[in-house]
Amino acid sequence: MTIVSPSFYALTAVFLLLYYVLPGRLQWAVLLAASVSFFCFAGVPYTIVYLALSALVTWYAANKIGEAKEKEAEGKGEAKRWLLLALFVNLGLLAALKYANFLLTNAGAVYGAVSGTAVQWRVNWPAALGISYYTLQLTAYLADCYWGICKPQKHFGRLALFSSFFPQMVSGPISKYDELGKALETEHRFDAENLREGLLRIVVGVFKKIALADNLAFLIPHFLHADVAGTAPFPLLAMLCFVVQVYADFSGCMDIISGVALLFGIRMTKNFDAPFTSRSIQEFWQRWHITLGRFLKEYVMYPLLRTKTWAKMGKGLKKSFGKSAAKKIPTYVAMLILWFFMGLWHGGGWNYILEGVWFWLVIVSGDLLTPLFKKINAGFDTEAAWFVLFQRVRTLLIYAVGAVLFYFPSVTDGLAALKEIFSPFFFAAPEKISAQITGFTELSGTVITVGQLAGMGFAFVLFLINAHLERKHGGLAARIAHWPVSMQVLLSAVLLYILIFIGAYGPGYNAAEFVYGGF
Amino acid sequence: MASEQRVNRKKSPVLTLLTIVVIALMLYSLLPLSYLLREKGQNRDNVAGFYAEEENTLDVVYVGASSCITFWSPLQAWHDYGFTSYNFAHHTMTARTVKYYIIEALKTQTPELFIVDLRPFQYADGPNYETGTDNLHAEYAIRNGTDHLFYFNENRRDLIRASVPEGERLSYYADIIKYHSRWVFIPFALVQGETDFFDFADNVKKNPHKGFYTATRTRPLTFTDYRDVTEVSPLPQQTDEILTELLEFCKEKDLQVLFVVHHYPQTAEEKALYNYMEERVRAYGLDFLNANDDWESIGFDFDGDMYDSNHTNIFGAEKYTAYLADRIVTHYGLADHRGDAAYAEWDALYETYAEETAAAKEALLSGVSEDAADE
Amino acid sequence: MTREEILAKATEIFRDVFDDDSIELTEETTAADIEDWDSLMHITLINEIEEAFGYKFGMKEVLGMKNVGEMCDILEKNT
Repeated sequence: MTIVSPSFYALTAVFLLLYYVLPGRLQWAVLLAASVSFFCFAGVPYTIVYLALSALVTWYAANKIGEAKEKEAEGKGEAKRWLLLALFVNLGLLAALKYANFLLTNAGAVYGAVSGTAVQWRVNWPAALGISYYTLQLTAYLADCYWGICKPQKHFGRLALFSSFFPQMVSGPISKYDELGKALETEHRFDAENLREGLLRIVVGVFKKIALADNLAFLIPHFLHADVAGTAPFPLLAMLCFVVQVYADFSGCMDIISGVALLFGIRMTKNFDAPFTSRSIQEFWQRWHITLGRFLKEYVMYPLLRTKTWAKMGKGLKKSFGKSAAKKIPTYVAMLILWFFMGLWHGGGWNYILEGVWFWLVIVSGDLLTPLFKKINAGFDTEAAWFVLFQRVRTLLIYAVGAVLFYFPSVTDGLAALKEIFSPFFFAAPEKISAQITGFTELSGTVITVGQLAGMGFAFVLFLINAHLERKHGGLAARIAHWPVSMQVLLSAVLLYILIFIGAYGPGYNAAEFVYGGF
Repeated sequence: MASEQRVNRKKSPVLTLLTIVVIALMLYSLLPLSYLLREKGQNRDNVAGFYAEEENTLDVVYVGASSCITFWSPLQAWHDYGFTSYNFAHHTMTARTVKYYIIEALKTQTPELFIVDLRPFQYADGPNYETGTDNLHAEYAIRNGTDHLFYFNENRRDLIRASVPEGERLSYYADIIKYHSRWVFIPFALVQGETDFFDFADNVKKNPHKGFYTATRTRPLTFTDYRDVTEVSPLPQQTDEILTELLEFCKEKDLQVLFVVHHYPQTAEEKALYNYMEERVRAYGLDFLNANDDWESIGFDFDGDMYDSNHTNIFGAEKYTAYLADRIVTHYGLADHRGDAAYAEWDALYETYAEETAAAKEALLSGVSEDAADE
Repeated sequence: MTREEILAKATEIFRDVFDDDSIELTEETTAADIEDWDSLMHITLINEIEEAFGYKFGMKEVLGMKNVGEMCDILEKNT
């Protein structure tokens, strides 16, 4: 069961009905039942024990932390012990289930290098659905309780719901307790406005995912195929397709998730805010996967910077390198750790870590070069349209480099691809390009058709329109909120109708394995 | 935020009506579009073409797999004997689905005689969902037929239920799920002015050859005569059950059915299988004919009359049709409609057919025919 | 310390941290108003303020401050 499968919406509809029909004080139980059902349909059912264990440990530890904090000073050590214990269990589970193979592979490589005998160490432990999201969410909750930002939830069922709320198990967001937990505690009455907005968001999200992302995903191997490899502009197109695919996929999922949550009267934390209108990569990361960046900043980087070690580092640097270095270097080191985890969070692979480090490099260089840029930019109006556009394109390309590293599991392949993309900035001879492009409707093989290129162009145009709508209005759903309801229904229906034909779904939607064309 | 979004939206009956009309039109368009996006070709021409036959005008309906399409020429039989027939056949029809095509045929026709090709029953170990072999072929073995039948069709639903594993049926029921991305063909056809593309919008289009395909290629084959093999080897249990089900069905509906085996270079083992089928068929009081037993009297030439090991070329088709048509008329006493104004269409179609086949034969003899490599 | 004194002292620290003598703090000043006051510099700034005022902010306060005025509230109460 994926969030674009009909069965997901059937499940949602059933629980939605129960949610508003049953008394409000049972709403949390309906949502918990929905979440458990979704977990079992969409994931490996038995792995729910991991989720249950994390929720249980977090619930118990948070309450202990709360009790200890009431004792004022003498409770401080106790609170800290409970915090560390719960973090150890939760992060330990995450490390074991998600990163065991990464650790084993690297350990194996080291062992192999030392001993001279190659080893293949692997485990096959299915991870719990959403473990990367709920673990961080519970970590933030524990820290919030420890820091006194929120009060521990006494009711285990409600904390279990906060841990497992079904719309966000697939791709987040990583919510704080003050946002999602509070919303789940509140009783919600049926609201036609929420229904309208929720459904619109779902339609937009499904369209992004099935019409744009999945179709582009299908195109990429065509552009990377051996027949065209290394022929500009195909590698570049592959990269752009991937950027748009990742965005359409991820933000489409977020649209669906927030739409589904809204049906239940719950407003999710914003996770995307027109990222591709960002003028710097720093701004980009404040607009892209916002809640992950926020988590790493507030729960990893800030606490690090406030440790005694970092304070000492600053003082030490001040003595030998001066004030400026003392201010910057500790922050850069903490950021490196943040970006390391940002990369690692995406998966156990060096390519992900390299991706994170790449963004760190860009941001730190940008920071170091700020005085120089200021001098250069003094000569013209930095708010001029051309300069804003230049900055946006530059930001997109910086992100795209990271995306290429993300795409290839092997770092070597990723770097080779980057070389291919950016070194031949002269284009291949027109004859050579046109030789790789065939008729309009050819459906088989690895050739690139005019139809596919047209579809890609269409997807890019929609991407730009969407970026504009997001920047100006907060997305299509918000843009048309004041339209008459009938027009909103009509637009949704037209989108769904188009989706029937251009969507990437069904068996062999892109293939045409005509077994018996003749006989 | 929700609270501040209590905007007063305009309510316009005109817009509401427009919305309803557009949505209705979109829903209405799904059916013809779904028909248009289906796979084109011989299967489509045959299966959807069957729906174009006028009600209760067919004397004989010929059901089976692809060999029927090249063996039996309805227009030749019409011209020589005056009875009407149609090849309600598609490539790789499976044993299990034969019954459903008979049911489908009975919806609009009341034929005197059904002819059922037994080839599908020989391929018990062929592509088959049930045995899990070769799923892609198994898929098309079903789709070659179901993808051309009408929607909203109980019989089609039953066929799919009987043949496709649960959980995989949705895209068989609504084949637009499989073929939707072919919408690109529609603007393409419009630009190219291919108006005949749209002929299938209602899933009905007359098949001018009544389900026959003129195969123009010759492949000489080695033939060993196993006429004298009298051994009987039973069908695998599952296939046998399907055969029983079909025979029971024919008996229950009181149908006149002739089960045939097209001639081809069969093995002694296959002959023994057909011997078994013969016993089974005759036990139900139905007729059986193994054309391999009569290849000499038919005058069949395995050097010049075959397209490949399973299909005849035009020469083979003429010989087989002449042989079987004669037998049908003798055994079943079908009425001769020639000269009947109601059947004038058949004469007209024959005219064209005769010209086409004459040209095809000439091409075949002069060697300017399809290349043997195009299989 | 009076509120004015706190604000004046904070202004000096801000000018020092951001290397910008034109900074004039008001109660309503937020991170958006000072070019270099981004999430990277936030903790550096907090650390400097803490050292100057001899008060250690809790994480709740670090994450919760909306503007300079709220920071002054905390400092006023605790110093």
